[in-house]
Amino acid sequence: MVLGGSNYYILDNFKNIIDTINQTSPVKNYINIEPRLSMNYIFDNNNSLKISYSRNTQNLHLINNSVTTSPTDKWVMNTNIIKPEIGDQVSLGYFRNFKDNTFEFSVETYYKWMQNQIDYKDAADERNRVIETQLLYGKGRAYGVELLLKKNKGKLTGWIGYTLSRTEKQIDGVNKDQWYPARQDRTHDISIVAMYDISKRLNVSAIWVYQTGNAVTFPSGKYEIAGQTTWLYTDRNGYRMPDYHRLDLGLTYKFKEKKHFNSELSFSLYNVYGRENAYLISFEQSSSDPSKTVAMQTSLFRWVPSISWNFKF
Amino acid sequence: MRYLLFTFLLFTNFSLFAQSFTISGFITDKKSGETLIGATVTTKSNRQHGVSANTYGYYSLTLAKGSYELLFSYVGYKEQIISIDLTESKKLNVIMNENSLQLNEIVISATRDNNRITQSQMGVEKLNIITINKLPVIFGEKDILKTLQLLPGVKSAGEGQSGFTVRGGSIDQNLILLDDAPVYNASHLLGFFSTFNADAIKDVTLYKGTAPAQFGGRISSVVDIKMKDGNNQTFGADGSIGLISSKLNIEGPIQKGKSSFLISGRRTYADLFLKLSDQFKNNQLYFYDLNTKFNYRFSDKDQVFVSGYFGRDVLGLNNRFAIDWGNSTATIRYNHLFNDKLFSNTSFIYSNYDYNINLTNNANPFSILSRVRDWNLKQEMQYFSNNNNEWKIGLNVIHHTVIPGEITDAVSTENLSDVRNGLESALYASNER
Repeated sequence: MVLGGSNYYILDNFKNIIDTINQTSPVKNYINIEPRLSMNYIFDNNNSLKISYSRNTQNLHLINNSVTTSPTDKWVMNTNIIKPEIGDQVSLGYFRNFKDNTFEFSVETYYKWMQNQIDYKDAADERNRVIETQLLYGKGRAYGVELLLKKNKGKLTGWIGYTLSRTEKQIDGVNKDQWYPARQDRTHDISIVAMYDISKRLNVSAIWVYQTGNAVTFPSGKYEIAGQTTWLYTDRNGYRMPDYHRLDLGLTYKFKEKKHFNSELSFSLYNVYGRENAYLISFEQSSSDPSKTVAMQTSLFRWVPSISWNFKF
Repeated sequence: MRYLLFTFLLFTNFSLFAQSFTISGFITDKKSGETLIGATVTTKSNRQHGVSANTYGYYSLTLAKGSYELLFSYVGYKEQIISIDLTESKKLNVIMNENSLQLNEIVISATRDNNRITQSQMGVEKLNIITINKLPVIFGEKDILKTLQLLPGVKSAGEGQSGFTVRGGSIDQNLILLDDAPVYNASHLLGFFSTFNADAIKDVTLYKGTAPAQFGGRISSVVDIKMKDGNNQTFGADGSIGLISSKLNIEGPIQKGKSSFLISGRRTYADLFLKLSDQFKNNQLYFYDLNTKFNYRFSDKDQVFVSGYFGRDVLGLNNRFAIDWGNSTATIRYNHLFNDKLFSNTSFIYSNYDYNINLTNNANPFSILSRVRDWNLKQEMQYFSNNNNEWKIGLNVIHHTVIPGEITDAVSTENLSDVRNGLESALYASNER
């Protein structure tokens, strides 16, 4: 229920304010039913097949226009114009355990439809007093396959996960009303996690991750107005950040246990092979030749070592 | 906005008993008295037929009159077999021992060995705190949200970020709950640390597919995080000292075996290094947070839990510009057992996220405040029926307030954009077999 007591607006097709509503009674009431169903067919103790369907709705929305998140990203509620987001998901999965539950294997596939998705219009003014005048609404779809193999027991434990997926949006007024990749669309995603107990006191661990780069919007041209260079953006999320991959290592040493005091030392090394993963890519005019453009890549962390001492008494 | 949420988790064996009795109670850890969420109870003869302990460690199993060997199990704990002669309904509180033989052999999933096979839900991942502790992380600070990002279908929003996307959803489409309270911004230091202090956390469950009916309000996923209750057996402290952050966790009984408290705090001090450099000595960048919880058992049937979180980040540049932001949450929960099959929980929840921007170097200094605030009431009844079929019926009412930007200078306060209020109500019913 959208409660009254402040201003709400009525917009025309060009998102100009044509009227203002200010009433104390509720402005709008949205009613949604969310059916959810999960079923499991158990073949035997080690095999099962599952299917599920669910609908979810969302009444608070975070509006964000950049690649990274910021504490000042804007939360907005449903209004007479902003409708609740609706997500429908069907999924199907096969689960299998091996060797007395030492290994777990699963394949899950999903397909998701999303309605009333929100995005900024092109060249939006994020600081506009009436945010509804800067927003567009459309649909989303996401589908993928997730594979997981886990080892639960023994000296070596861990898992390997792989996801093949696609996430797209279709918003009238963006990319000629065509489907386009959402910012969080990543085709491939791999995680390998391993933990190994060398002795009772010493254990080592490693993580390797690989991801396709985010879909991003880069300028495809530039033009000059009154001596000022302005970038020309054509396709939203039409470009990709470079692929991301990284290896981290960890080591923990437990000191001898005393009756009322235990402690351990942990070492870790983040980004072991020092890959310069792109955090941001920005475009600047070349200083030597202003007609040329250079892309500048910002990377954050190469080789971040750390040490911590943990205690318990 | 009003919803009807339905979960029908169909399946397994139907059996109706001529004369049946109920065994019920709480399952707890011997050393700390912490309840074991999701511990399972089955009969030894039929390990498929059983129930699991709810969020508060309560179980209720109904069986036909007769003699049974009951098997209690929980990952990382010694299985316990208790023989009973069931001629009447009984209370049976079970205390379980950690499996010390396997202490350095970790088990990283689920509550029962083949839980992933037998539970009807899918897309559910439970994270073990031991796993979180063992994995390397940036800056040496173990982190729940970064460990979740290593699971298939969960992707990091960017380098070092605690923001994540699940199955193609956006960052805001994840409902992150800390003891039932929604957390609007789960990041510290622009995402390099998550809001959650792993030392104060007992249980983490991610639902990336179909979430149970009691969860609603986001379309992508639910991350349900439960804080520890605090050790109700002995006093203890633990903590860690690292290069850029340190933390301390203190817990202990208020009344032994009955009530306990927990206080856990964290502070980063990367900014101390900034003071050493001439260029940055007037800059600030740090966060701190505090988790507190206490619980009190009035009787076998009544228990109250109070938990709270407060965290703040501060970024300041040369005394000219400063921004600070943070979440605060508070949850009061009251458990009541109407009878051995009917469990009730009432929660009253507050959650607030705000940020403040201060500009102090011009002639007219001003500040901008932005806020999201929730007041929330939840009532849930859980009924364990005869054929160990579990019903849940609940009501959830949330009042939201969003203040997009309130600008204050020496003379006045004005809103940059309209303040909005909303009421979100949900009614749900679910059945799990």
